[in-house]
Amino acid sequence: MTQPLRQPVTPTRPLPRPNLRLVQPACHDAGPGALPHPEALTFALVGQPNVGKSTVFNMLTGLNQHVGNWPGKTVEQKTGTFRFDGAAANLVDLPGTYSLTANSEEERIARDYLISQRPDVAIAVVNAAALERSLYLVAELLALDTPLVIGLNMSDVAAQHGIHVEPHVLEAALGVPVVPLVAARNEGIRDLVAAAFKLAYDPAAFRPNRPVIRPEHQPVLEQLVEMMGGCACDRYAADWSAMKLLEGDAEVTAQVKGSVAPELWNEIHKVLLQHEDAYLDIAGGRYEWIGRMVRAAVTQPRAGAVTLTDRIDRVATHPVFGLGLLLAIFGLAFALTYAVATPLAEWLSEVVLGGLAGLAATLLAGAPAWVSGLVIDGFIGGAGTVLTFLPILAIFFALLGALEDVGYLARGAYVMDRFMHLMGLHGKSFLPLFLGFGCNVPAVMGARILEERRARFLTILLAPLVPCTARLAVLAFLTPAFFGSRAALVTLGLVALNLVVLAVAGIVVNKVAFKGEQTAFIMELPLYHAPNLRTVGLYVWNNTSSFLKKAGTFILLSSAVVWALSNLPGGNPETSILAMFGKALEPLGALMGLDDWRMIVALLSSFFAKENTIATLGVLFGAPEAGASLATQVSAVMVPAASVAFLAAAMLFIPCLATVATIKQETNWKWMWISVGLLLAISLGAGVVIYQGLRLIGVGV
Amino acid sequence: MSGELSLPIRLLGLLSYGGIRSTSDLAKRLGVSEAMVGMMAEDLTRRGYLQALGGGDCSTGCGGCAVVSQCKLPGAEDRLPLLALTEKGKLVAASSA
Ligand SMILES: Nc1nc2c(ncn2[C@@H]2O[C@H](COP(=O)(O)OP(=O)(O)OP(=O)(O)O)[C@@H](O)[C@H]2O)c(=O)[nH]1
Ligand SMILES: [Mg+2]
Repeated sequence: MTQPLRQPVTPTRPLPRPNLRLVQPACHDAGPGALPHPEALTFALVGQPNVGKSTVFNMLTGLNQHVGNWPGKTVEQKTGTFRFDGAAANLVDLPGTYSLTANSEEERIARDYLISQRPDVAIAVVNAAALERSLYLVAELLALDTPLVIGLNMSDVAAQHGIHVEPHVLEAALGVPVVPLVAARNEGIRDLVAAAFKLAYDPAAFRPNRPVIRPEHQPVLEQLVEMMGGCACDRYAADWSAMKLLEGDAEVTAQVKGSVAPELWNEIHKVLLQHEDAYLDIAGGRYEWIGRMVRAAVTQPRAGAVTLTDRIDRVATHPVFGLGLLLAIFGLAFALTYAVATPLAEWLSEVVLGGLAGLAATLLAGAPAWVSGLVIDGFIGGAGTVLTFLPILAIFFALLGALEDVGYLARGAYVMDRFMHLMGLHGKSFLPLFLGFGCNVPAVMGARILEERRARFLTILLAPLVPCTARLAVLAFLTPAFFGSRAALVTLGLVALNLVVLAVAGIVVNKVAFKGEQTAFIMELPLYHAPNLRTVGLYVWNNTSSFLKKAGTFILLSSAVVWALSNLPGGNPETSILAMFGKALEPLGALMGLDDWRMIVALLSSFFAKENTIATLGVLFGAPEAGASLATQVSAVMVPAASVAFLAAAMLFIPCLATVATIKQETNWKWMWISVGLLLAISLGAGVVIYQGLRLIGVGV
Repeated sequence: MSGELSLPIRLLGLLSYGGIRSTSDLAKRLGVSEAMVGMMAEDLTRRGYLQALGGGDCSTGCGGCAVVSQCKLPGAEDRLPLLALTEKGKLVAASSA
């Protein structure tokens, strides 16, 4: 059977205190400055960040504390004294650490202190609400020789989450005194101190149940101890150093390397290389130990939320039903957005903007024609029309934010991937793509896991086809301008179409570049929970305020430019520079049903910003009048089939600048231009195919 | 139980064939809690057996973009990033599957 990592030499004798010659901290003054009572007992508080160590420290020491820095470090050092039942003791508040692997300054300080200054008892403050994480540190503390007591803090938070930890059972399982605490309310701190004193007076009573190392690693540990053992250092220190060497601990490795002859180090290094994966077993021993402790002492972790999540996920992450649900939820979200916001947007357009235009006309009656034209058609018609879509964006973002906060959106990528598997496509390239549901940039960067250049570049080419939240927002924003009350269905259809395009492209790339090569991924699907109003509100505020800012600056400016280009020379839009440009492109536009040059110009203006499309339409169709919303004006010059084609093209148009920049960064200039060209072709191509297809079957013409 | 593979190795082994795995599914298969799977996954990532994809942050480099804040969906930052096996991880996974 497995053996304990370290067993006391004889169970009845106190453990020998180690003389950790091999692992002395780099500088000897890593400990706190002179303690007030050198002769008294010293206790050290250890634990993760934010578990309540300082709360315990402050409750005990009150005003008798000294705050400074750890020698040579920027980390705060707190030492103090307190009296308990007549006895004085020193208390040290160590920095918060997740483990003792010496990964960070804090971890190094805590480890060095425990090893070199050797407090009489270490008091580990653990978080009852996240016991597993806390126990990892405890497992590492048990590998040091300091006697330990455990303060089980945050019991109130644990109870709120439905987690119940049984302190007596945990104590029996660990073989370490466990005292329940609510430090913030000063509950249990006296008992904790009593346990620490008791252990300090009788360290022999400390018989913890330590994590074990697998028997197959015992020989190599022995071998390493042997190799280092040229020195007469004590057995315990050598065992610990050998284990840390096997774990690949950088600090211990450097120290051993510096303290043995180079030839010997080469030998040791060779042994270590042969056992590179030993870490997995050593850490595995700790995880298994944690699992046993938690199974023994914790009852029903978050039972309610877990079963609810399980039940919902049986449908929500099902490869077929899940995809249906995804589409249904998006459809519903758009329907709700339009149902609530479209009347508002129309009211803003007709009453507020119309009134504003009327007012401006009266006020500017005496001004030159170009001034009133710029203000009424340019600013009010352009930027003003864009602003009327603010309610739509606000509600769309509220729903999207809520869906994410509830925990649903994370399921989108998961469902798409499972669906692909169901179709027999275990492609490696899909997942980076589906990452793009939030944003295309991580999707482009996610392609890094593909080692083969061709596969990576092809995946990057596909990434902008993923309907990211920004694209969905654009769609939510543009569709009602064309379809008014029927916008929800059209939007959903376009999203579905986009997913189909993506799936087909994915299948092609998979066949061409991957030949069935597979990779697995781990994804965390959070528990479902009620949305937090504050989080969602903040998300909506961030998005709408940046939209407002943009409308007031960039869009305002582009509206003026569009107005100017559509009035020069001569003031007649039909003979303007912009009209000439648009008319030159009419043969291409006609293929997708855009017979009106104004629509072509609007589509192209989205190159600079998607909102420009609406601003341009607003300028070119003039300031709104009562009863003539943009949607009615647009439908007068365009059949529905052409509107769908227009929207599909606008949605698939070149991605945002950040994505283009990331593509450049992950590939090169050439591939960036290929990507831009390809998307231009795909978006215009999709427009043409949709319009011609709809015309062929006689829908919307 | 000395014959059985250790938990992190079994976790890597479960990733030896393609596809997406949720932490809750992995937890069920390993007989541990989801929090434990998360901890092990982070540990394996630090040790170079797994790698995080994307990083999920597209806020860098899109200063002028009006929709930049949409990239950061609420709540997404306190979640485990999407993780994939590295070459080193694949070797362990293949030998344990
Ligand atoms: N609900 C609850 N909150 C607590 C409890 N104990 C401490 N806190 C709170 O947790 C927060 C962090 O406590 P600290 O004592 O500063 O934590 P720390 O361990 O010193 O943290 P670091 O110094 O960052 O490592 C404070 O706001 C405390 O009031 C408790 O038992 N229950
Ligand atoms: Mg503190």
